[in-house]
Amino acid sequence: MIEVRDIYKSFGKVKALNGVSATIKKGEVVVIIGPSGSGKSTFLRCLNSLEKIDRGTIIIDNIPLTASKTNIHKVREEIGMVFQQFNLFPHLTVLRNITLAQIKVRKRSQEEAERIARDLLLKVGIPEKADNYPFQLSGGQQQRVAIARALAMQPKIMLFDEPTSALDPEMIGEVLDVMKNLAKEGMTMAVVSHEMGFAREVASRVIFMDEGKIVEEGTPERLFEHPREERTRTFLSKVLK
Amino acid sequence: MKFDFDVIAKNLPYLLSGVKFTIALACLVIILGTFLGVIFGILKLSKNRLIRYPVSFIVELTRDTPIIMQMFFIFFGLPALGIRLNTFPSAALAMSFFAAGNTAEIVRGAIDSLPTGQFDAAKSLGMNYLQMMIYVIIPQALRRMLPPMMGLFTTLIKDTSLAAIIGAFELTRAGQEIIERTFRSLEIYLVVAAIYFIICYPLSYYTRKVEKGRVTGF
Amino acid sequence: MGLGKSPNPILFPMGYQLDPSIVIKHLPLFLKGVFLTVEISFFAIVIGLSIGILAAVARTSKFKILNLISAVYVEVFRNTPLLIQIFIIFFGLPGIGIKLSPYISGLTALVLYVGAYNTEVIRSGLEAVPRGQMEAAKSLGLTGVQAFLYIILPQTVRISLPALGNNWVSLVKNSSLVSVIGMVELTWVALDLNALTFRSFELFGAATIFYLILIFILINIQNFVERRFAYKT
Repeated sequence: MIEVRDIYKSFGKVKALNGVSATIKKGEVVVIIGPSGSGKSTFLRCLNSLEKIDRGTIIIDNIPLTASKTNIHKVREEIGMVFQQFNLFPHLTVLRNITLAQIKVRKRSQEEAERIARDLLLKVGIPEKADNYPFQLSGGQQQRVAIARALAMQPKIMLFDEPTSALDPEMIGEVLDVMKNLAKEGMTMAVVSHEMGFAREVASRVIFMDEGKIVEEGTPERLFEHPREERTRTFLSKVLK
Repeated sequence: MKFDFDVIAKNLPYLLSGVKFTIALACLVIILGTFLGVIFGILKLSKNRLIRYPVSFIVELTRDTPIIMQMFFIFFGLPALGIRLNTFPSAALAMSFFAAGNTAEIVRGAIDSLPTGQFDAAKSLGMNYLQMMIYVIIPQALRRMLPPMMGLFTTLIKDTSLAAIIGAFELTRAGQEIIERTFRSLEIYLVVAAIYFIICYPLSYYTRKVEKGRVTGF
Repeated sequence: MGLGKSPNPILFPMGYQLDPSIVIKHLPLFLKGVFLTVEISFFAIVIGLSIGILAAVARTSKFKILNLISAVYVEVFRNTPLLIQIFIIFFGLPGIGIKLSPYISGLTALVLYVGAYNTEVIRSGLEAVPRGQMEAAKSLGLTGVQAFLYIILPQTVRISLPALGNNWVSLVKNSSLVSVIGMVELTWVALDLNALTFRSFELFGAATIFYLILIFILINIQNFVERRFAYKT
């Protein structure tokens, strides 16, 4: 479903991505781990073209991202993204946050958009907050709204950029639960995260990145129990207890 | 020397007739200036250099030169191009450009202060540039623009006094005319100052309140 | 008078012949005006900063009377036009026996005006310095005054630099107003030459360009100083 061939991305002198290739098949849950600065977030953000690659190809669902004919907005409709800082629209209610893009981008009717929104709020566990504003919600609740907002577009792929890193510890669980359910339902997911427990439970594959390159990848059991590379071992020893 | 209260009392109505023009000028300028300024502000964001550079130049030109210089240029200098404007329109035009330049800067500041995440989220939901600006960015930017715009309005009210220098009739000019007749500079100018104060102080007080009220994080 | 013919008569339809040589001919006078603009602005900035610091301290002081005087000063000078303030000092004060020269009148008005704006800026700068700084200074044995001068004030100024810089740019622009009481700075030169030659377009255009250059330099100095010295809390 997602094919990434040899991509490079630099920010000025900093080489964030230094020749990265990967494939993500439909229904896979890929968790990307690595130290800060390894390029994991940049990699994710290239998948929906929030960052443009300098070299290489990315093909999403048979559509090349970088081709001039490609309508990037249409591609983005099929890819949902959840951010570390939630990025909810503060001037809109929770309900409107979820229905806005449905109506303006997917061109759904107000009634249909609201029905979908309320179903999703129920699914993420906070149906009663529909008419609240983001600032009235806790961090965990806001992130769940963000997930609902992305899901409302009925994307084929969901990208998660460190979704729990900005949350207080007691709220991480509620967000991970939503993500686990999503994985069980068969959603194709690419998740950048430090939550190793989550990776062990639902990831079909774990990718370890460092200094802009993929160092190694494999099933969570294989990678965590028997890491092949020295760098992987060093990183895991610092992160796993 | 005795403070002459009498001359104040006798001439207050004349001064107040000038106030009408002061307010009219300020309101006209803020409307024109805001309209122009928002357009300038949004044009300045354009990725197209052919649009961005000239607009930036005009904005800097109006922001970085004294208002009276712009008034002099329009009132005295434009006739060379065949454009002869009267005192009031000259002052209004000069101040409108000044207001536009400052408004454009306020727009830029407001949009810059928005977290990049808002742009990211809108884009990742598939919104195109126009949709992102209309539904996500501009509503939030407008809220952040309100306090500085109110400050600009207060400044403009005070700057209407400069129109007197090119002879336009408003409060300051009214004061000058009275002084030409009565020679009581101190009394009259103090009253003129007091009238400006009465108009501006409530505005700046209210502006501070609005500034403090915006703690909800957008 | 210079009589250069315009190379492009289409630009000026009423038969007005653009004559930049009028500016070149009076360049020394223009430069003298620029110099005076810079001079009066410089003094106003320095003295105005001191006033701003004093008034900000008074504004945050425990003594209600100091607080009140400072508040009144700030509100009066921020809510009345600079032009009227100049007129009161130059035209009004002689009525009670105080006759000041155009230079001193202009300087006083500018100082009081920018001082009031500086006060507000420095006041928020003061409030932005973490409380712990004063406690740390005192626990090291510094007196209140020493702590203020060596620890608090430097940090305050550095925090306030961006806003102070904006005030200074405004000050240079506002200095043009002292031309109306006859101080021979840049605007006055343009006005005077205009009365003499009526070459308004060239003269005011040239003056505008001089101001642009001045402000441009000032903004660059401000950015440089900000980058090196300012910091956010």
